[in-house]
Amino acid sequence: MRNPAIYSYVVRFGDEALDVGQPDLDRKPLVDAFLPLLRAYVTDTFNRCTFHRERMQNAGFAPHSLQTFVDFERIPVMSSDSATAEFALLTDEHRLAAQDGLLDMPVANRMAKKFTTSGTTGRPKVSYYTQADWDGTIAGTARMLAHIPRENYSRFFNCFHNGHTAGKVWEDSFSRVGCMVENRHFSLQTEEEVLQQIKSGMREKGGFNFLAVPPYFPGGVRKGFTLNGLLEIDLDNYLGSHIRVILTAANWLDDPAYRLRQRMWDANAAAGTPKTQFVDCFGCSEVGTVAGECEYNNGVHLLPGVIYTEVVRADGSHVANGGRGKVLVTGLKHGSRYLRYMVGDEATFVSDPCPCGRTTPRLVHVERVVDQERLSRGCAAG
Amino acid sequence: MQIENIINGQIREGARRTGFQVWSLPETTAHDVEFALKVANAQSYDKAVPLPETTALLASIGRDQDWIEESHLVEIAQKSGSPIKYLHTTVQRFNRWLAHLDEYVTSLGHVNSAGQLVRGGLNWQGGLTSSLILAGDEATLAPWALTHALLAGSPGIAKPSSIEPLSAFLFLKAVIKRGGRTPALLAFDSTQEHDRAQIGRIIRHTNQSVVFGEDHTIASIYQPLPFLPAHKAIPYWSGRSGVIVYPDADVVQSARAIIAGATEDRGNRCISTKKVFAPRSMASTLEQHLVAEADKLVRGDPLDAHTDLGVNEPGARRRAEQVAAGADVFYTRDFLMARCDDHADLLCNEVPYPAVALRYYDDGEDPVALANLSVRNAPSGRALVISVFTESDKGFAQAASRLYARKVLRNLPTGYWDPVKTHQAIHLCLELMRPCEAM
Repeated sequence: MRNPAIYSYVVRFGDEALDVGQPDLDRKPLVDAFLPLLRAYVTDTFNRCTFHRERMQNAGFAPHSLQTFVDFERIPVMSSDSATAEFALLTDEHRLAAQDGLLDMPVANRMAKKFTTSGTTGRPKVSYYTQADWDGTIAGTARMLAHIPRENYSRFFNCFHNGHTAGKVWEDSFSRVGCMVENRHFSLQTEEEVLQQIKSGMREKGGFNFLAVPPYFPGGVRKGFTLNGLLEIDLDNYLGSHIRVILTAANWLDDPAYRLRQRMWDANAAAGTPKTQFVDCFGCSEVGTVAGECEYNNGVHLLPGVIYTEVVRADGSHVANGGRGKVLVTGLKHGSRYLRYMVGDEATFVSDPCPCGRTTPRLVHVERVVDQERLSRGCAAG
Repeated sequence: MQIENIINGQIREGARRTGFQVWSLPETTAHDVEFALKVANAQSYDKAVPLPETTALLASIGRDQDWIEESHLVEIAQKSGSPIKYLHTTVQRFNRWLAHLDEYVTSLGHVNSAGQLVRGGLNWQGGLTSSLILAGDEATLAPWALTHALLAGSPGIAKPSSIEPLSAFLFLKAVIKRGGRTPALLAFDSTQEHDRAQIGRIIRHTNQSVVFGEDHTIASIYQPLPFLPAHKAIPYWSGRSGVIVYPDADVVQSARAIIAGATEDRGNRCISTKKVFAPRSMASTLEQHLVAEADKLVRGDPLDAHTDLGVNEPGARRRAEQVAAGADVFYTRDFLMARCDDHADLLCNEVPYPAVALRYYDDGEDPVALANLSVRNAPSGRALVISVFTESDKGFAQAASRLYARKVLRNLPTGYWDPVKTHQAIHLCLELMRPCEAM
């Protein structure tokens, strides 16, 4: 680890607290550091959110019985369909107050961010974040950079749309850790214009060295301008010359149709610069950044902290090492409570040791689920 | 021999291969083009290799004569039909030129302390990105063009000929082996729309382009492109080369030169003799000698060391016969000769086959005017080479001054080629550079 504590933030539920910014969290056995916080979150949710309380009660689950991660699997899975009501996932207090706004609540209890998904897996989902939720999210996200020398990510350009969750997360995460951050200007309409902004920004300081960019548009959802598009037009090879780190979001970078990683490394070869470090990550608007690649680019490491991630079989139980299943995420948030939420992707779960030294499991071959209905109907969640 | 693409000085194996003519070539992707253009831009302008270094490296290839081996020539002969006898000749000629490349460079000017060519009081700056769209089955055309690009310090992309891609690959490999920097080599099938689009992309994103090929091929590449004011286009149109025989010429020498010029490498060169303007009074004697010379040619297996004529692709003969339709054909043995009028296709157009159109002129007719008339619709408005057969110094000088041709020879086959001299009236390496006056 080259950056032992890039950004610290303590998440609290009940009497439990955890610094989710500490990179050591990725190198400790998950159970010791995380299970008490997860139990406290489930208890808090049970006590304060009717939607989840009823679901847990119907399943015969009591929060005090949560002593192991296997116990956690008894909580009903939330299908995509069950998450479409905007306010149901809030605490009762928030849900009832929403009509007139949260003006009478303490600032810490108010909502700081709201995101709506694009609805590619059904109807759009809404997710509220309090400021504490948001701070936890960006602290956890920043841990993805722990293995990268600071000088390689000091000047950051954000190609993601600033209305997209990722755009906001990157901006706030990397500002907080000390990067000089610039967002793609809202008025730009073409990749040529975006490339020009990248080329002209931070010029006095050597230009941007860190880029967050959607790789391509696999499902036609425009989250910003893409690495594929930028590489195509950047024939002067500004990216190959300057960009040392690229952050992408959950696309198969080695897809033969795009070969993005290799193309970027080709651009490095043309410029005579070292290979750009890719950090592909996996996340969603509902809970935030779930996982990110290490320096070995052999899958995305889960980022325990404000998110607990599972890969489950059709019966909702966790797959073994090497098993493939649906991805469930639980966001430890005070805002919208996504608890064992089926995000709409499937992945292979790998708990084998990674040469990077992290002890956190990895997800590999993350792909959109085609037959989402199968789990929705087959489980009690629906 | 497996031919691969080359980018950034490295072999780049294609994920898939495809059949071009009789060759198996790597499929080139848009990503390969993207990479190659980035490399070209990175190597352009002030990063040009000093001329003396390049000259020395290339000369060593010519001296060592190892860039192409006998087995490669056999493969080219088998696949293209080009007689091995001709391949030996052209490779030896090219190697000689290359081994003495410093003399060629010296003939253009002198080299200053910065390694730049100085000519006519101007510094000639290289390093401009270039596209080289190669064509044909002449085994030394690609190395010759690539040598000029390297002398000009031009990074860029070369597309090998689909008919004979091996020599370009072997030559660039030899340069790389000696530590030289080369343009990328990317295979395309210019008959395919997708590949033509990629060729167009390369041209649009380089400073200049050199395109070889039949006239319609060159047109199909350039015409879809928008006007590129900052781009220099250097098309090598087909030759429409020919011969004028004056009444005072030596008939035997003329006939021998006409047949040699028309049949060398199966008439596939841009400097192959395609037409003859001769006095009508000489017709009978000339035709007698032409037929005799043509009959002497050894036909057959391209791999036979004695074969003169080699093998053309079957379609070429049919195409030549179509073009000769309406003309008065008097020789058909693997080679067409026909009497034509001024508007005959065979006289005015080019076929990739050994074929000669004869236009006899009468007293009072001017053969120079007739020759000029025959190229009135050619894209360049000129013949590539016209060889004038006459004993008269004055007659030759007068003809040369009026001929619409890029080169006028005297009493030589049109196929005579001295690489130290211009080709298409230009030194390609100079065209790929830009002069700068330093005061």
